[in-house]
Amino acid sequence: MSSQPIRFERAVAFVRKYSVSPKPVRVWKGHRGTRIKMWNGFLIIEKAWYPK
Amino acid sequence: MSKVTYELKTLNKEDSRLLFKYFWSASSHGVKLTAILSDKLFSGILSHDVHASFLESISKISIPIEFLETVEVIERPRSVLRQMRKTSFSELWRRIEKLEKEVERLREEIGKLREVFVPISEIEVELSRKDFEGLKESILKYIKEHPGSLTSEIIEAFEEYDPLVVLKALYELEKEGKIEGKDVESAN
Repeated sequence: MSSQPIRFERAVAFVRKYSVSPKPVRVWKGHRGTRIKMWNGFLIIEKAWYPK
Repeated sequence: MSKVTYELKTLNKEDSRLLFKYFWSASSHGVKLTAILSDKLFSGILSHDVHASFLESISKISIPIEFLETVEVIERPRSVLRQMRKTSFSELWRRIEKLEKEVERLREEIGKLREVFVPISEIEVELSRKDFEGLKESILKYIKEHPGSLTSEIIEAFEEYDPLVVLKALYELEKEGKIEGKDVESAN
């Protein structure tokens, strides 16, 4: 499978191992951020929960 | 095969280009067309390399009736040719082929996404049904007390449980219509 980006506003990852890039990296266009490499886990896109 | 013969008295460059396109798509779908060129009968499937200028001197064309839907008589070639272009089966075929390709591409994409996403409904819960129902009730109570809690906050609040089990409980509560998950709008 090709590498597919998953766009999210907020997400949480549960992983066995991760590494954070020491210097800022380009996220998209002029936006800078951090690159986190992750191994063995899953990513959950956050939602805000309300009672009905 | 029933045929309709159309008289093309005047044919300018634009019309001939249109007709050429039409012939090209018709021949690519194996539809047999007949044209009378300078009183000489030209029959058979026109090859793709027919130059537009070749069609400029066409005086009559014969098109199988199955190939056309609504065109009756060509009196004003330009307008009718436009209509042929709009209603011809070749145009429909092209659209069908385009849509089929799109469906194929979407199917492929869905397949890839299925590989990535863990379907929540298929998560195995290593809890008895009673304990799981108890967890669901506790989560519902927590959400009522803390409306707007994020998924991760709920997982943290119930950290003695497997995150996927909490997710499944949220999924079931949402399905039962007891809670509602809203997209988080801001990244801050």
